Amino acid sequence: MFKKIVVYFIILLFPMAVSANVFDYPSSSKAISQKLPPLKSIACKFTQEKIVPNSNVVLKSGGDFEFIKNKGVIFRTTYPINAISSYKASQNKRVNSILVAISNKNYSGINEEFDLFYEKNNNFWVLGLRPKKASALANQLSSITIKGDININCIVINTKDSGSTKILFDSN
Amino acid sequence: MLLCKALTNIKPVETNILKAILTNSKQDALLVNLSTKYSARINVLFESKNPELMETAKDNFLNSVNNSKDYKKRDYEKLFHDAKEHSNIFLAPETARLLKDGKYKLVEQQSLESLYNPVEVPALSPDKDPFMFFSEYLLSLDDSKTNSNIITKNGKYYEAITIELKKEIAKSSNLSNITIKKLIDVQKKLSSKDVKIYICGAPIHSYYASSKSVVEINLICWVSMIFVIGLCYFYFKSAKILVPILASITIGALCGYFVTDLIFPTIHILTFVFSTTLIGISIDYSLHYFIEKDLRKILKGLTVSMLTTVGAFLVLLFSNIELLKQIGVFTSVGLFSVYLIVVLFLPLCDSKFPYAERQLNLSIKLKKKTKILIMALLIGMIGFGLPKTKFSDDVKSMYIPPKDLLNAEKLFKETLNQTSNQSSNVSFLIVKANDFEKLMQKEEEISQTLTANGYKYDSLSKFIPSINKQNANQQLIHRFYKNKLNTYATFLTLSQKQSLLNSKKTFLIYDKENYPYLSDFLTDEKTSMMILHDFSNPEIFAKIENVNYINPAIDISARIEHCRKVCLKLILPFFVGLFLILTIIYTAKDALKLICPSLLGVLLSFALLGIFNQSINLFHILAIFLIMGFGSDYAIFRFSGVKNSKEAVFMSCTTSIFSFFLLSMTSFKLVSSLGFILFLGLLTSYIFSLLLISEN
Repeated sequence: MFKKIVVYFIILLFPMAVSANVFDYPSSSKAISQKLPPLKSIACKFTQEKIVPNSNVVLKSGGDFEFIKNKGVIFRTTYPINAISSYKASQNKRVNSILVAISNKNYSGINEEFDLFYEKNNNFWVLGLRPKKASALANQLSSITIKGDININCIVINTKDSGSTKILFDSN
Repeated sequence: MLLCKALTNIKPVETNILKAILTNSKQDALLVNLSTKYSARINVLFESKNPELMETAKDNFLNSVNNSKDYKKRDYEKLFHDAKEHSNIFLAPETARLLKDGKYKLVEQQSLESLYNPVEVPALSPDKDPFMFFSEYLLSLDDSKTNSNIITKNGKYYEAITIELKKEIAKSSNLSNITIKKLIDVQKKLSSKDVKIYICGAPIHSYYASSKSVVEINLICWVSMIFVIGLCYFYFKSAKILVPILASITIGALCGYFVTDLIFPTIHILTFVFSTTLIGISIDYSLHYFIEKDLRKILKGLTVSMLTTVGAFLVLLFSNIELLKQIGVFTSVGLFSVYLIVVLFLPLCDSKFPYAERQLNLSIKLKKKTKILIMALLIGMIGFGLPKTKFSDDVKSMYIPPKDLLNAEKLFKETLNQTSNQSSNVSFLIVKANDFEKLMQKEEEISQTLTANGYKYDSLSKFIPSINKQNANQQLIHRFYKNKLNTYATFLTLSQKQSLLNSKKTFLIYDKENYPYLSDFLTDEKTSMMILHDFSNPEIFAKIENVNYINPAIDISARIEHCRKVCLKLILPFFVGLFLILTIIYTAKDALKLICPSLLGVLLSFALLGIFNQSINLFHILAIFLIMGFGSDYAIFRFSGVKNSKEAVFMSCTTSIFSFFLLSMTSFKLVSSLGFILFLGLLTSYIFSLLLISEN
């Protein structure tokens, strides 16, 4: 149990400390592709926290996560509802394509719509994506932050109207 | 007077390819307007092995475009902001159907899935849109297959973007060409060995067509002039004689230009390309005069020849094709002017231009048997080739773009097909109603039919629904909230729920000033345009009133087919008319004899097209009249039995054939097919006149 708590601490808190101001570190797709480790296919548990603006309510959910290299992500939500969000569905394509692009080190698609930021400390890295001003996404999205080591550990999606979604992955 | 009028009112040259075919009629104006609206788009494709360099080039390219005032700015921020403020008026078609059918449980289930979907980015926060209806609506508008416009192929990255010329720029060929010239400069500046930039689309085709046409006009003019000067000098051994000959050609061309300029609102650049042949064909009258020297001997032949040729060109006025009408006026006025100069002025001043008398040895005596054998062979070719002929009215076959541009179009299409559901196969639906509200309602009625049949489309009502629909959507949402909000939205505070339940009805009103880019969907306040992608079933609109389906490519081809059929019907009356005129001047038997060579020339030319598997288009059909007009001249002069007519006919035939041969080498299929058939027709008519009409 203690070991588990320590692992959670490392996964969650340490990269968050690193990422406190990732948006102070602008980077380029070329530099990021050289520094970021390649991501492999993985299956693990995930938890999600969606903050409802103008209230203290946090919508929590969780389930099984699967990342299939070159294809995309599948989220099998098991609580509070049973649902599958697959990379095949059109509404999931944006976040899915970002994760696939990172795993393939192909940043051309991301570079097209986002300004890129990157910070690394020891084995932990943080990638920040902020929609370009001219991008249609800029009306909807504030930023996406992806944190990880050899796998992705956390994704934080911030929307324009102060809504926020945090997805945590437990790969151990 | 003509000169003064024309010089004080010089009009811009038209370079829009479509306007070569379509007239300024109301019916055609809509086709041109629609095509121009959609063809104001410039497709840009970036190619590189290095995606970062490609992005830099793209950003620089877009910076240049954004700094220019010639392009439309697609700023959706205001619309998105207003739509968020009125989010309750929007529902995705599927959600609206479920709510209408009372399938609340299913809607609730889908909303929960969307709400907890970790990878769906909500357009509005859950306190404002707990069932994610607005996000679903936005997703229903998204036509992209992937998140990115970038594809990889053979180790290279490709990114496709589209920019659009402003309406006022796209409408003016001159302004459009100036803007495209600047864009090509930017393209050249930013292209390197690492990043290639391709640009294509209708404005680029028009730009290249017009610049190429200018080069071709100059080239043909110079080559024709050198040929004519060389031939005259070779025959007459005098440089002085070139003065009246070149003067008559120049005056003829100027008269043709001035009259065309007065009659038509603009002159198409392809008319100028064709008019270069005037050098070769208008010299004929001067040659006849200077070779024979005695006007009385040739006046009858010269007049009949002018009447048949000018008459043939005037038939083009019935073609209903703008370019051919202009060619008809330009050439017939030019020829008539040269005829007048030759008949009225040359006899007064020919003594001032001395030249040596000369005779060419052109007699090739053929035995009767040989003549019969050649005739049998040629008629055999006619019999073999004519049944093989086939018609083609496809407008696309009349324009073959340069290889580079074709390659760019292909690459762009491939990239677009892989990243978007939009296609380059676009057609339009023109919808009419008594007012804007009814117009949007009608669009919504049509949208239901299109969605039910699985067709993709774009329309104004997708962005600004009718007031009726906005009201209905708000009622559906309100009823659903009353039924489900309290049990579903446990994550909301009481006041947040109350705020949603008590929200007042709001309406989003279309405003041209606020959303200028949406005005593209309207042709006027009571007429809108729906854009259909890959649509092929116009029968589904048969029962809907005031709806007009337009597919520019098919409609223009249908127009060309109609014109071709009209022209085919004109051939017989034309032959009868020509026969009657020649019968009045000569005899019925002689008239038949005079018509025969050019008729056989026409048949053999078409047979040759059949043998070489070339399809016959409207331009070939119209060439029949011209071949008859020119070809009968050779027979008339040979038949006149005037001493030196043989040489005059040979010389004038050579200059005409050479001019049309040069025309057949031009890049524009429309004009080159006309040049080629005229070259073939005149050559064969001349050969038949040698075989059928004795020089005595």
